Amino acid sequence: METVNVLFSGVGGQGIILSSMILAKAAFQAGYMVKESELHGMAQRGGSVISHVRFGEEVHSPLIRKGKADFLVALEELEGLRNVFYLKPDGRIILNRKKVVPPSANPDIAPYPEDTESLMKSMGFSVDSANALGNAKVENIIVMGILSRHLSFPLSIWEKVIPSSVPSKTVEINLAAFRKGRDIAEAKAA
Amino acid sequence: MPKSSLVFTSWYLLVFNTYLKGVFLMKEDLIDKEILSGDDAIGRGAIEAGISLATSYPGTPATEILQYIARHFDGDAEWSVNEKVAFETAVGASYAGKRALCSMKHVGVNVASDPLMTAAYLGLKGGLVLAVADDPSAYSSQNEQDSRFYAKFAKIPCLEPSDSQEARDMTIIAFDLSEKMGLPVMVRAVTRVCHAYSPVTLVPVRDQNPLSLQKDPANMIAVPGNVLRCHNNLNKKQEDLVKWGADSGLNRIFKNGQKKGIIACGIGHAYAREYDPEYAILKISYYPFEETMIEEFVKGLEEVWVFEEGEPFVEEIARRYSSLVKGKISGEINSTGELGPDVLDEDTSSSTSNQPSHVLPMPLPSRPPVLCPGCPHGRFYEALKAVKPAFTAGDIGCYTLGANPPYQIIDSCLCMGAGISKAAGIAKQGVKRVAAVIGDSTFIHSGIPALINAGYNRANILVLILDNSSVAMTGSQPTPLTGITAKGVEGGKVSLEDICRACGVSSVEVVDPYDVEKTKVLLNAKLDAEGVHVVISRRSCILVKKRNSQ
Repeated sequence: METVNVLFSGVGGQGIILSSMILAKAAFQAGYMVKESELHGMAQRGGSVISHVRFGEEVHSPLIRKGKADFLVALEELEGLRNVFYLKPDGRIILNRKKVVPPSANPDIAPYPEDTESLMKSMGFSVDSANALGNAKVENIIVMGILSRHLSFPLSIWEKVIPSSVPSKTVEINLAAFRKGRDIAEAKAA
Repeated sequence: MPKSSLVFTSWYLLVFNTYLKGVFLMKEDLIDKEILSGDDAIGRGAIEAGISLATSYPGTPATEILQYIARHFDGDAEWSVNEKVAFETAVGASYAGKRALCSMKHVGVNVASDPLMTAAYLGLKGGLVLAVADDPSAYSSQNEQDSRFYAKFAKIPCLEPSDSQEARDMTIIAFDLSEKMGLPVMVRAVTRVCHAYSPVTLVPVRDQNPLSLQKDPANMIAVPGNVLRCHNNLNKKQEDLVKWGADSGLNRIFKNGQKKGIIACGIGHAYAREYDPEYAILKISYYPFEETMIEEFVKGLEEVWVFEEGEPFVEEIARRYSSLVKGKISGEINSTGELGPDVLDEDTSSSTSNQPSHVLPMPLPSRPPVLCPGCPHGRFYEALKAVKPAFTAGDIGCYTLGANPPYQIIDSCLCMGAGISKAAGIAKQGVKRVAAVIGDSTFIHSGIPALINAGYNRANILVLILDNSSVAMTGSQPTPLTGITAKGVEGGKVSLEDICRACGVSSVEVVDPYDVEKTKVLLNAKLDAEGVHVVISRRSCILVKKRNSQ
């Protein structure tokens, strides 16, 4: 089995590290070797956050090589664009349609790109997108739901790992968000 | 030391299972398998090795080592005020016959280097492991210095894990080695080991050493009369260290007729395995080693790469035995920045986080870290900027972000506690209206001597202590100013104002940074005044308040 490489990207506060840990735990429960890698500190300060998750029979490097990611989970549009170079040419982007404009952005030098989804598609990537407006607190879990449709883990593993990863009073909300993501992905495939 | 040699041997073999293939794994000793970060794994390893004490000062990427221990260990785990004190405290525990783990980031070793160097000369009693977290690419640091040089300088052994399992295993091995050789032992990890998560097989926690306070003047008192003998002893140990390493299996050759090879140190091994099986691999996890190991590996190879984080420490050695070595000296690998997994790919930029978006048709806006919305430092900087100091010597913490837009008010940042000393140095050249900005935790770490010095040696400076009740940048750790310890219980407490007054300064004032107008007036007056003046800008970090209200 080829190692599966998933890159998560977004802005601090969106729950990227939580999402990547959930995926890592799910892969581990499914019996795979797994490595997850992240950088700390920028999350609280509105900076870019990325994390790498790799799972398979044998995994050595904790970092994904350029052009080797199977999936790019982009919780924010700009951060998604910033990291497309990680993707395989036929890689898939799971995109949360959300723009967080950097406070120091200078529109004359580098404007925030307009239509991120079309731009990504024009580069040849498959894109599953969703808009989590109104559910910002669980947008990371909705997006996990979409991703889960493309991975081989049984639902039972996710339904075990998610409750053990979130505060107990939010378990129901998170499971509902996860199922919503799965429904979105299923509807799109149909 | 463990109770019987039989228990020791079987336990030792258990721990070696990752790299001595074919060793019998005793299932009944296994508790569980968990996904841990490298930092967690070092913490877990220390607990399993039977420590009685863990000391540390916060610093990315080492912070989580002590945090893991504080959460999971019933015994003593402390945030020391700085790395020197942390190391010395650990030496004390060692003199009492107990095992101690001291952890810090790479620049922290600069602070701890005084006791480290002489502790190696004198020798130790209970095992002492110095766990160091280097930061290649300096994602959160002032430089990317390579801690292996400290191990070589101090003449102590260094173990370098490539993932969490090894981080745990090598921490345990390090304690045994420390007691066997009577030396501190370094475990050197890097960001991609510290903050990467992978499965670790947990083992039972060993008993702590019994209390056994030693008096051994010849080997505990560093005075001229003892130095040459101690130095001689340290030199004699070096041969034993090399021999121990050769027998340990920590450095291994994986070769099967390939004509190309990679000498892979620490995390470099994880990246090298991605290029299997084309390349033979010499895995290096232990220093010091006999150079014949390198000589044997490169023999017959038409191409030799060296994968190592930091300086070309091993590459220099390899170049003595082969003219076909590729790495940082020869220029195929960037000499700065982290190695990354793309080493042998065509476009080798060293830092994956600074990738140019060459795939995209346009440049993208950057997203540098900023102060949190509502941060008291932000309000303070508004006031400071308005009064236009001639120079603002900064220091290390969240407030260093004042160097970035929109403030751009911090003019320098060197190392912990340097703001006050630099400001004094500038002011003594006749420059007026010089300010120093330092955080409360940084001040306790190493600002106090600088403050005393400024008053004693008559510099005219304004010292601005930004007191947000937290070691904020590293995740809101507590300090003696908050009076809460690493384990979340009440400890001793000190008063910042009292300390400043005791340092012999001309005045100490406290201001609330949210009151920008009042702050402006005060700063302006103090900048013009003769003498050393302290203004404490006091308001809690908003993340501390958030945590306390949850």
